[in-house]
Amino acid sequence: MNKITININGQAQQLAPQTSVTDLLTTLGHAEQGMALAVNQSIISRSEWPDHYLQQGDEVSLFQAIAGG
Amino acid sequence: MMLSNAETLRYSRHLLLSNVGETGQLKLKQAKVLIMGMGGLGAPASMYLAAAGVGQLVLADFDELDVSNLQRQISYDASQVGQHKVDAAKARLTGLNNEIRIRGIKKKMDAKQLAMEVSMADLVLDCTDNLASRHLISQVCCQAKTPLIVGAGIRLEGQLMMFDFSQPDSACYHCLFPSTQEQTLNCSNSGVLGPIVGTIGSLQALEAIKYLVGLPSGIKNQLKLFDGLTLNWQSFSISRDPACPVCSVHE
Ligand SMILES: [Zn+2]
Repeated sequence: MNKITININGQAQQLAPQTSVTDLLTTLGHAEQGMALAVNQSIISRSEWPDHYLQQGDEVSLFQAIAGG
Repeated sequence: MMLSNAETLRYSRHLLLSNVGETGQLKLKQAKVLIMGMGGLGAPASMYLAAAGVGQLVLADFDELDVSNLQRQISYDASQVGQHKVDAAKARLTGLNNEIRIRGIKKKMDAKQLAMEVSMADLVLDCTDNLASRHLISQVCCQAKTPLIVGAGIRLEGQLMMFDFSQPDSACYHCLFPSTQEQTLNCSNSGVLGPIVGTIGSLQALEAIKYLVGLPSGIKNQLKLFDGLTLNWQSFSISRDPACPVCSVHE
């Protein structure tokens, strides 16, 4: 099966085609709580995670809410 | 309305700026800004806004000054430890600029009181230190259509964003961080370098002044991440989540 390559926080990662954002987070074993995710500098809304499929060359940024002040 | 002679002298460096000038200074004088949280972000933000001549500042914080706050909350003095932060801040800011009005709120506000305060403000700065307050403030500002500038800092990282709720297309804090589950990362347990919150709080003040004088924001519907190790910034656009229960229900 073909693989696609994306970047997650600057690290290359191979994925199966038709991998959604939700699938990716499951694969990475990330807890979804408090995380935000952007693809190519656009935040992907939580409600769109299951239907947003990652594409070859996507730059994925994953980060946590910071509460401190 | 005109500026007094004393104000003309005090704000002369604003008057030299073509994008502030006397018109902008008068807008600042007529503005009312609510600052939620008077810690590492609120301290520098309030000082810059007081210095800039924002006519009315409302400072909200229910904490008393602790000696461990002095490492980053630079408007306070060691002699003020034990005082309510809003009282200590009011003394400091009045000493800086007695031409403006400053009011402190030192009890924890419920949603109703907060809504009243927000509806009376032209702009709100979120300088708080916990996720529950951040969600509540964004929700209340969204309902009141009052613009909100959000800052946060931890360790060597900062976050900055603005939601202009006076515009119909604005996203909200909940669109970005929908989980209300309290995170474990805060200044008390993770630590923070003072200049991180100093940088973000100063930029909240910058964006506030720009908004009040009518200059376009560099962060509207954007999230800026600051990396204090490399000094690099990352920018992300935030779109309104059509499924957001906070900003997409009361259309
Ligand atoms: Zn929203």
